[in-house]
Amino acid sequence: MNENQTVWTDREREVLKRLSDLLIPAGAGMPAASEVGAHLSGTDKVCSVRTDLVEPAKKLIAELEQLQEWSLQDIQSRYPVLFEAAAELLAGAYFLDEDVARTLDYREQITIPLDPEATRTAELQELTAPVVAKGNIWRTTV
Amino acid sequence: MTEKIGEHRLPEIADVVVVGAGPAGAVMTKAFAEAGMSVVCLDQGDWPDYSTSRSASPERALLGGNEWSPLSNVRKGPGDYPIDEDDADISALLWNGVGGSAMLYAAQWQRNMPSDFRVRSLDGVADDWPISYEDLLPYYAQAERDFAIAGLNGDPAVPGADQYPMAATPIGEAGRRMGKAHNSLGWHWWPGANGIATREYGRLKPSVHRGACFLGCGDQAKSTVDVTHWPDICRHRNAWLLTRATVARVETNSSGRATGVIYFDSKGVERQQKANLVVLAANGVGTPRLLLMSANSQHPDGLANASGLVGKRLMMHPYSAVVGTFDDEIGTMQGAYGHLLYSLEFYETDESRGFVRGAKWGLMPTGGPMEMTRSFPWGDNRELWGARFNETIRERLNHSATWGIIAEDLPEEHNRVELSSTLVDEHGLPAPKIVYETSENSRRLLAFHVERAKESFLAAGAKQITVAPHIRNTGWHLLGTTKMGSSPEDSVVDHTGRAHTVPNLYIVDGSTWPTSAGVNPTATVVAMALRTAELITSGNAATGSKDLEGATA
Ligand SMILES: Cc1cc2nc3c(=O)[nH]c(=O)nc-3n(C[C@H](O)[C@H](O)[C@H](O)COP(=O)(O)OP(=O)(O)OC[C@H]3O[C@@H](n4cnc5c(N)ncnc54)[C@H](O)[C@@H]3O)c2cc1C
Repeated sequence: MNENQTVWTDREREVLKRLSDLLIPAGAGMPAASEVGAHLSGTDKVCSVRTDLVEPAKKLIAELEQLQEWSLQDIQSRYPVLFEAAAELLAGAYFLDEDVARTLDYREQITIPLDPEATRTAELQELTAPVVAKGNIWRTTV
Repeated sequence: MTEKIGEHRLPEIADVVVVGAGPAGAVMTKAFAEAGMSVVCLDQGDWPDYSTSRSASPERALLGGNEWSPLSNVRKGPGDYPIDEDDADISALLWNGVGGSAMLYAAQWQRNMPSDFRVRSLDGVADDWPISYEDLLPYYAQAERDFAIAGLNGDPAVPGADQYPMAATPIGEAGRRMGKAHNSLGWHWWPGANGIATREYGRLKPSVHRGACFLGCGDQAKSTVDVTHWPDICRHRNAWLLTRATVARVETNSSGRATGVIYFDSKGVERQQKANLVVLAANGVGTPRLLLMSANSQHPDGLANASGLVGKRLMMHPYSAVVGTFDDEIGTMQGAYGHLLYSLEFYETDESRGFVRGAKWGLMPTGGPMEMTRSFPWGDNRELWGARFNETIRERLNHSATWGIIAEDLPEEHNRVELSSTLVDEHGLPAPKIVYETSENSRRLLAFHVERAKESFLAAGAKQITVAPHIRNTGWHLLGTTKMGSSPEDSVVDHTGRAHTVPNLYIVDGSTWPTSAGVNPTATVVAMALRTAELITSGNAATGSKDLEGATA
């Protein structure tokens, strides 16, 4: 499966949308999950690398479709394993969104060069001086 | 894919067959190859496919749940056997393939402490080892060179750790802060030694700090033997590495000597590799499984099992995580995912605490946004979801660090690996079944350490502290299931790793450990393998084989 294919029906996407906003509402200057389309292309992207999440998420959706009302606490306590998979799916979709990542100043994929060895070692030697001053602390066995 | 390195045919009878291409198997195969012996190494898994690790792409954060999951039941990749763990309160984490479980390791490099080898004499529990810290000293130093360990020399808690081949990985603001806090408390700490290169070293490249260490480092900065060892080994005309080769049993003859192994190749064809010496490096789960699968009329309880201890005394290092969250940024969203620092302040026994032995603490960054949602290290994360989701993510991300507490697990015979009666692997071979219950000593030990780790974060100015007292998916250290000792009645192998009852069978992985220590084990697994390899190739360990005497001369 690639990220341009989908495994979700429109009805399933509706449930995913509702669920995603329950899990990830807007707040702290961040959008709600549905505002960035976490239930749309986001979930397709996630499923292209995490096919294992599809089945449990679909199961949860099917369960939720049977219920009139559902709250977060209900879902967490009644379907803990399915919930975990659906939460991974939706949070994954949310954080893959470029605007979300930018707003969080999330930049894990860039490379960070190291300071020169001598600078780093000198700093560590200064910081560890009190540890060294206390002397050896292992239990002697010989 | 079954891969044969080199164009030349496999020897009909090899000097040595090694099972397992992880750190221990690589060290052994390299030593035999360099000594001019013909050596065939078999691994049930394949070469790692770094293209799937996507370490430079945003999808990286999702992968721990699939191809790079440490749970073979989830991963279901080439060579992965299922594990029956319904009766275990910790799951075994491992990787099957060239590079072994270290493909997923955090690369935290920690020698055992001298007292770890003398637990019985010092603390009156479990067993002393038949070797000492001093016996391993030269091999630790060699291991640190061979595995490109980056560290700061001179830790006054670790004798002789003063020859690291490169400068330590940066400790960042989190490390600085925690180091200063420990200085104010008068507690031990030291910058972490890691198998993460900080400069060009052999085939390794300096880390660029993407924080992807746990998932196969696509930047070739993490020291794993698919990079550091196998390419050189494969140049030898007398060495072969066969992947997708699942060993089903070790064969023996009527005089009780091992004659080689039976394995299934990638197409499921049963094959035999004869050898004068058999070396098992299949880890604390795979090795006892193989010995138990090798039961025959001569060895009805499994091979080398006169003591009845094969598979027993499994130790997995129960683990707690304590996370400190700070008001300001401490740079933990990115960086080497080894240990920034470690502390051995509470490593040794103090009986007034109500338990024996202790634990190492390793300070780790917490990672990117997805990692803020996971049960490792946050424990029960149910409160995260809903109204405060984004507030909580912002509070945690780049503001938090984890003390990972590795409890010394004492050996108990009821904690064990046996053969599953219900699950089988792709070749119909019985899966391992793990029976494991965290002991009362471990629980008390962790409870004490969690309280001290909280004090450490408070001293550093943390505003929130989150505790995950017991995390199921933390059985990353698989130890103890073929105990080393001096007598065949109460141990499986002698001090060199040689099986007491099968003179030409050696075990070189962590299964031989009489006790577990309270630190990450790879440094000691590798040092012990180097020692055994040297003893064998120099003719100073019995091989039980006349044929080998010529080969090693
Ligand atoms: C998630 C994770 C994090 C870790 N972090 C750290 C850390 O930070 N520091 C540290 O020191 N340690 C760490 N470890 C532990 C470390 O990976 C092991 O100590 C190390 O890999 C042990 O090496 P080994 O060669 O003995 O066994 P392994 O590396 O497990 O290799 C065993 C090999 O044997 C093969 N095998 C098994 N059975 C068969 C069979 N029947 N036929 C053919 N092949 C077989 C397997 O496929 C495997 O490749 C971690 C482990 C995991 C899983």
